[in-house]
Amino acid sequence: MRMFGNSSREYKMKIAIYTSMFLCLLFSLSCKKVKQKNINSEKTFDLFVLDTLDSPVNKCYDRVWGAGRADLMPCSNFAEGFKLPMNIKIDSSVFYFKSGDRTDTLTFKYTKQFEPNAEFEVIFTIKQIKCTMGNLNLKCIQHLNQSCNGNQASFSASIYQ
Amino acid sequence: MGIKRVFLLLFISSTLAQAQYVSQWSLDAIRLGFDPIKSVSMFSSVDKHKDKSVYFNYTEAYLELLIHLRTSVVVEGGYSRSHWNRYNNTFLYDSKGYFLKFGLDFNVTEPNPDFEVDLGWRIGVNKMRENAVMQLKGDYWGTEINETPLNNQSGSLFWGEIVLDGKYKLFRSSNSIVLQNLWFHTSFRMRFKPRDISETYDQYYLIPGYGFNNRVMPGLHFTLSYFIKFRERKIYRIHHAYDSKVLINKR
Repeated sequence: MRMFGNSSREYKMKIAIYTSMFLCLLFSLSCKKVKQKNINSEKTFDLFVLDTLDSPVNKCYDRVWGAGRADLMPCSNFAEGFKLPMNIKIDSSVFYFKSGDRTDTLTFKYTKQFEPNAEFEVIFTIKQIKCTMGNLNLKCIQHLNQSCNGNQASFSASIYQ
Repeated sequence: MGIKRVFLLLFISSTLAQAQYVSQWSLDAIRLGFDPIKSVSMFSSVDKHKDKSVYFNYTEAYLELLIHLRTSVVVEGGYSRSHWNRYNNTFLYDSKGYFLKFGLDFNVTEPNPDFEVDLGWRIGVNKMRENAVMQLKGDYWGTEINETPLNNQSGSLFWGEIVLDGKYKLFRSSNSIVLQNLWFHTSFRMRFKPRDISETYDQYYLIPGYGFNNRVMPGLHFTLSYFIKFRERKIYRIHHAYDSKVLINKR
């Protein structure tokens, strides 16, 4: 049984069909699996501890934790501060800082929106920060809507030890 | 001049003169088929391949009514379900729906019983439903967000296609009548939408029967068809000077 004839026209047709099928196969094989990344959508708020000269310092508490959650790193690095993850489900996050008998509270209130970039991101706009510990450095908070709304570099505040 | 010379002269002039093939407008045959390449995807459900960036179930049926030597009426219809895993697993989109296409194919090659190349057009319309889920996780707070910006949202679209179709008899030398009537079509399509759909992130990513939500969308189709002849196709050669039809072939 002969599938195709031998004339040049038929030969060209055969080549066109096989090339098309090959391209189709190539396309289906190129459709790779998406790597299952466990993407964490919580952004961290960097809280720095300053000395009286406004220089960031290392600071350790006995415990640091979010309300109802596991302990975070109790010590801050002067360069990175405390990394406080923001809750993506609700519009506030509460953290506790325990040192001896004293427990201070830091409460963030914010709004969220979702934007597609490499992956869908949560963009936080912080509206209010309340704390029972040392005074917060207000430089950032005064310009919340301009400089503290999700830009990781300026998504931070400071407290005085 | 003898009658034999007159006939001989007529024969020679009709042979030498530029001739044109015509046939009657009648439904002589049909081709009935389906897409054998993409239809394989129907054996594996989209739900099992949600880890792939794009996956689809697709099948398409084909009916061609050969109503003229060079012209066919074509009706295509099918089902498509597509899944698109976007934004690093944070956005899962799927659409499903039925589509129907109607159009004409024009044979641009010399009439040949074994193959033809057609140029044609189609008008397509579909009925579709879309779903989208945005999935986000928060490790520390142990939270998850599952928002559904599209929840079984229905829609309908129409579009146009320009078609370049190569049709070829697969087993032309076979003794089997069944095999002799098997044709394979390779079709290049250029689809276009008459209007732009708003490019919101959660609507119309994959349009059943059309493809991705681009204004112009190229495509490649394969069809395995069976040729069913109802009656002999009469092909005439028409002489320009006298407009007299001479039956030259039947197929």
